[in-house]
Amino acid sequence: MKKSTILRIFIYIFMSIYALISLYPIIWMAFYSLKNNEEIFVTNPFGPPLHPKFSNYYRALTEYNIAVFFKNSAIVSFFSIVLGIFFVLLFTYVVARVRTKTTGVLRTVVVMGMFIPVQAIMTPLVVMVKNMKLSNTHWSLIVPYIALGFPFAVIVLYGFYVNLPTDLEESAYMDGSGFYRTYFQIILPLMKPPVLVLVIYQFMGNWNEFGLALVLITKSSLKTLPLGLASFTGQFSTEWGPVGASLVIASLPVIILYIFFSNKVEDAMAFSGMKN
Amino acid sequence: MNSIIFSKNKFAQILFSTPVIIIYSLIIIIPLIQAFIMSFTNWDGVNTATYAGLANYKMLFTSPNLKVSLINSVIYSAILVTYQLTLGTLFATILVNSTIKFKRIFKDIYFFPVLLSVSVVAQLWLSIYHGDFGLLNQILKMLDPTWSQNWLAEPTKGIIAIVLAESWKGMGYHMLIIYAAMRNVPRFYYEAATIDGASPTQQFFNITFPLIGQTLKVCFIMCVTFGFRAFEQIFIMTSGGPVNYTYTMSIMMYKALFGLQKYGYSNAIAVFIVVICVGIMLMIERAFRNTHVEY
Amino acid sequence: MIKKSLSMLLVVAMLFTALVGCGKSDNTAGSSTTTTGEATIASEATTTSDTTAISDNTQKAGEFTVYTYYADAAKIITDEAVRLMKEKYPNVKLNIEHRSDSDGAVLKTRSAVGELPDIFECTGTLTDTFIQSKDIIPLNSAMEKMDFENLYMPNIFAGLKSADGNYYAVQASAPSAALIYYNKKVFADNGLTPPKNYPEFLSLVQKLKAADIIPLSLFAQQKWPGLQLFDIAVTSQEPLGITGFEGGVKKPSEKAYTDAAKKLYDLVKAGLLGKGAFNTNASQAFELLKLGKAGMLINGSWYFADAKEYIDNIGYFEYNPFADPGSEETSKWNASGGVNTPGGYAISAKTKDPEFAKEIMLNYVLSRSKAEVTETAGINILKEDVQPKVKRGESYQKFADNVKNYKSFTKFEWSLKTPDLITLLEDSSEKLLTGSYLPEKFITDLEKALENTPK
Repeated sequence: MKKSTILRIFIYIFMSIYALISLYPIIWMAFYSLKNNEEIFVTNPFGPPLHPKFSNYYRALTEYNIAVFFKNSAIVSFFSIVLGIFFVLLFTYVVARVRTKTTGVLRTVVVMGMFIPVQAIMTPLVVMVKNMKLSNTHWSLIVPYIALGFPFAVIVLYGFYVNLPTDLEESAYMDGSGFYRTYFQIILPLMKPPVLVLVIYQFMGNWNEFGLALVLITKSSLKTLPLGLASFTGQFSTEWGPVGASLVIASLPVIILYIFFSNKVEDAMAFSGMKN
Repeated sequence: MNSIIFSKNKFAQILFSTPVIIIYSLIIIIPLIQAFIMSFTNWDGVNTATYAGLANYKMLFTSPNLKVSLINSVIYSAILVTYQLTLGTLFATILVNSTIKFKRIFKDIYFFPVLLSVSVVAQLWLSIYHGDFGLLNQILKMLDPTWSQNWLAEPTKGIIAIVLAESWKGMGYHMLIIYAAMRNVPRFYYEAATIDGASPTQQFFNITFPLIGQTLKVCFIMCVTFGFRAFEQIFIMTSGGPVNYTYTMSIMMYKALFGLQKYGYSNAIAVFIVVICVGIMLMIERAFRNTHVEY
Repeated sequence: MIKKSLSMLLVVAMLFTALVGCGKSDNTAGSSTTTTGEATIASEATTTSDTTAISDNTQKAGEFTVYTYYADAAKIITDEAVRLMKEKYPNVKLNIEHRSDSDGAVLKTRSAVGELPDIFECTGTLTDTFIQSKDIIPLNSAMEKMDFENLYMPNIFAGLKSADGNYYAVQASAPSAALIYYNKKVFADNGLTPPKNYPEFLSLVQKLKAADIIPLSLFAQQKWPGLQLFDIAVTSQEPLGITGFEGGVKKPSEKAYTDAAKKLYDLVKAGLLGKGAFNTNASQAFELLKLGKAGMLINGSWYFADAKEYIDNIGYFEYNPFADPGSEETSKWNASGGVNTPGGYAISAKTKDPEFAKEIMLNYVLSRSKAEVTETAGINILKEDVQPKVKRGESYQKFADNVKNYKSFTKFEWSLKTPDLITLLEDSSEKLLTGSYLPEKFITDLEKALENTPK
C-alpha cells in the first residue's frame, strides 16, 4: 500500500513538471505579445512584460486585414476537412473490407504520400491547379489540402475499420438493410472517435499551412492567416510585439477547437469502450 | 476477412474509392511523376528544361553535404522516435490506467505544444538556446561559468538541440494517438486478466502492448520518416547552418531549389528522400510483420 | 524631359484640395494619407517646372498589381509613392502586393501558370530567366519617351542594361554602402575611438571583449552580413572586393584576399562575435547595439533610417578598419556594397496595356525616389531638388555628404552574378567566421571550388 502512495506522489510530481513545461510556451507567447523588441530579445526574453503594450493587439487588429485572413482560413480549413475526411471514410472502407492486391497497392500508394516533401511537387502542382481552373478561388487551396490530408487519414481510419467486427454490418445486410443504408446508419456512426481525432489533426495542419498557400494564392482577398502574418515580418527590421499579438489571435481557434473536440473524442471513446 | 457486403456491390466499391483516387492522382501522383522526370534535367523553373541524364544524381552523391545531412537525419529520427514514443506511451499508459485526478487536464496540456505554430515554438527555443542571452546558458553560468555553450552553432550539438525542441513539440501528437488506441482496447481483457491474477506490468506487456502494436508501428514509421523530411523547425532555427552543421536532406533540397535555383537537382534530392522513407517504411513493416497479433 | 515630373507636380497642386476630401485610401493595405508632404512638394513645383505640357494619360483609368517589398521602412516609402501616383493618375488603381520571398520562387511559379503581376520587383538572376522566357518586355520605348534617365543624376542606371542592350527591369536607388556602426556611449565609456587601421581595430575588439561587451553584433541568421564583412576587409586593399570573383578576374590566393581572411580569422579568435551570433536576427542585433550590449554592428546604410529613434548615439567608421597602417586615406574611399536592390521593376508581357503599364511603372519608380527622400531622409538621386521632411541624424548627414566621394563600390552579395557564386561565398565566409577553419584552408578550398562554379 505504502509503495503505491509513493508511486502516486512521484507520478503527480512528474506529470505536473511536464505539464508546466508544456504550458509555458503559451504563457511565453502571451508575454511576448505585450513586449517591445528590447524586452523580447535582450533585456527580458522570458519573464512577464515590464511595461505591457496592449497597443500591440490594437495594431495587429487594425493595421492588417486580419478579419479577412481569418475568414479565408476558416473557409479553406472547413471545406478541406469535411470533404477530405468524408472521401477517405468511403475509400478506406473499401480498402479495409475488400482485401485484394489492387486495394493493397492503392492503400500503400496513398500512405506513401506521407513521405513526399511538398516543395518537390510544388511547381507541377501549381500548374495542375491552374489547369483544373481553380486559380483565384478558395478551391485552389481546398483541393490540394484535401489530397495532402489523405495519407494520415487513411492510416488512422484503416486501423479502426480493420478492428471493427464484420458481423455487425453483415447481419444488418442479411436482414435486408441495403448496402448504403448499412454503411451510413451502422458503420459510419461507429467511426466517430477517429473522425474527431482526424478533425483536430487536419485542422491544425491546414490552419497553419504556409508553403503551398504562398505559391497558390495570388489575390490578396484570398490570403489565409499564415500568409497574411508573413507580411508582418520584414527582411531587415520588424516590430515583433504586434507579430506576437497576431500569433496569439491566430492560435486561439486551434486551441479552442482542440479543447472542444478533445472532450468530444473522450465522450465518444468512453461510449465505444462501454459497448465492448 | 473479405466482406460479403462488397462482393455483391461492385459498383459501390468503385463509387466509394473514386473520389480519393481521382483527387490523389491529380494533386499528388501526376506532379510527383513530373518531379521525377524533371530530376533528369537541368531546369531553372521557367524556361525549357534540357536533358541532363544522371548528372543531378551524380551531383547529389558527390556533394560534401550529403554525408553530414544523412548522419543528421539519422540522429534526428533516432531522437524523435526515442523521445516521442517513450514519453508518449508512458503518458498514455498513466492517463488510461492510473487513478490519478485531473487526467483530462493533463492530457490537454500535453497536447498544447502541438497546437502552436512552428514559428512560435522555434522562436521560443531560439531564445532558450541563444548563446549570449539564452535561458539555458544563464542557468549553466550560475552553476559553473565554463559550462555555457554555443548550443546551435556547433556540429552534432546543434542538430540535437533542434531535435529536442522538435520532439518536445510533437510528443503530444503521438501520445494522443497511442492514448486513443489504448482506450480502444476492450476493458474485459483486463478484467479477465485481473481475475487470473496478472500484475499491471504483466497486463501491459501481455495485453496492451500487443493490441496497440499496430498503432505503435504507425507512430514509429511516422517518427522515423518525419525525421528525414523534417524541415520547418530546422529552417527557422538555423537554416542548416552555420556551415552545414545542421544540414538535413530536406534542407539540402530547399537550398538546391531556392538558393542555387536548380530545380532538377532539388528534384533529384526529393526523389532520394522519398526512396529512403519508403525503404524505411517497408523495412519496419517487415520487422513488425511477425509480431502482428489479431485477437 | 521634366515634362512628367512637372505634370505630376501640377496635378498635385490642382487636385490637392479635391483629393484631401475624396481621396480615401484604396484597399492597398491602408496607404495612410499624410498631408504634411504635399505642401513641400507643391511648393517645389513652382521652382522646378516649366508649365507647358500635361501627359494625355493622366486621366486614363487602369488597375495594376504591383508586387513589391512592403514591410518595415519600405512600407512608408511605398505608401507615399502610391499616394503621389494617386495624385498624378487619379483613375489608376495600384494594388500593392507584398513580396514575401527574396528568391523569386513565387514569381517563377506564377510565370509557370501565366499569372505574373503587371508590375513586379524582379530580383537577381530572375531577370535573365524571364528575358529568355519572354515573360518580361523591354522598357526602352517608355523610358525614351519620358527621358527617364535624364531625370536622375548620371550613372544611376549603369549596369541595369541587359546583355541585349535593352532595359527590362528598372530601379532607381541611391548607392548604399555596408558600414560598421558603433554605439557612441559604449565607446566613450570605455575610452575608445573609431579605429583607422587594423591594429587599432584589433586592440579595440580586445578591449570591448575584456569589458564583457560583445564587440560586433552580427545578425548571422542571415548570411550576407558575414560575407559583407569579408568584403569590407578585402576592400582595404582591393577595391573590387568580392566582385573580383565574378568572371574570375581575381583569385582568392591573391594577397588582398588572403590578408582579409587572416585578419578576419584573428578577429574572430579575439572574440569579435558573440556566442549567439549565428542565431541572432536583425532586430535582435539592432537592440544589442542600441542598448550597448554590443559595441558595433555591420549593416547597409539603410540602417540610418531604421535607427532613427536612437541615431544620435550611433556613429559609423569612416575609415576602413581593416586597412594596413599607412593606407588609411586611400582605402577610406573604397566602399563595400552598392545598389541596394538587385534588378528592378519589370512589366509582365501579359499585362493588358503594356505601354501604359510601363508609363505607370516608371512614374511609380520616380515617386519612390521622391518618397525615399521625403519620408526616410534617403539620399536624393533626382536632378530635381527634393528635401527630407525630417532632419537627418548627425552620422547619417555625414554619410550623405561622403557618399559622392566614394571612388568605388563593390556589390551587396545578392547582386552577384550567379546564385552558385552567392551560395559558395556565403558558405565559405560562414566557415571562416565560426573560427574553426584556418584562413589558409578557407583560401585553398575557395580557390578550388571557384574553378567549377559558374561566375
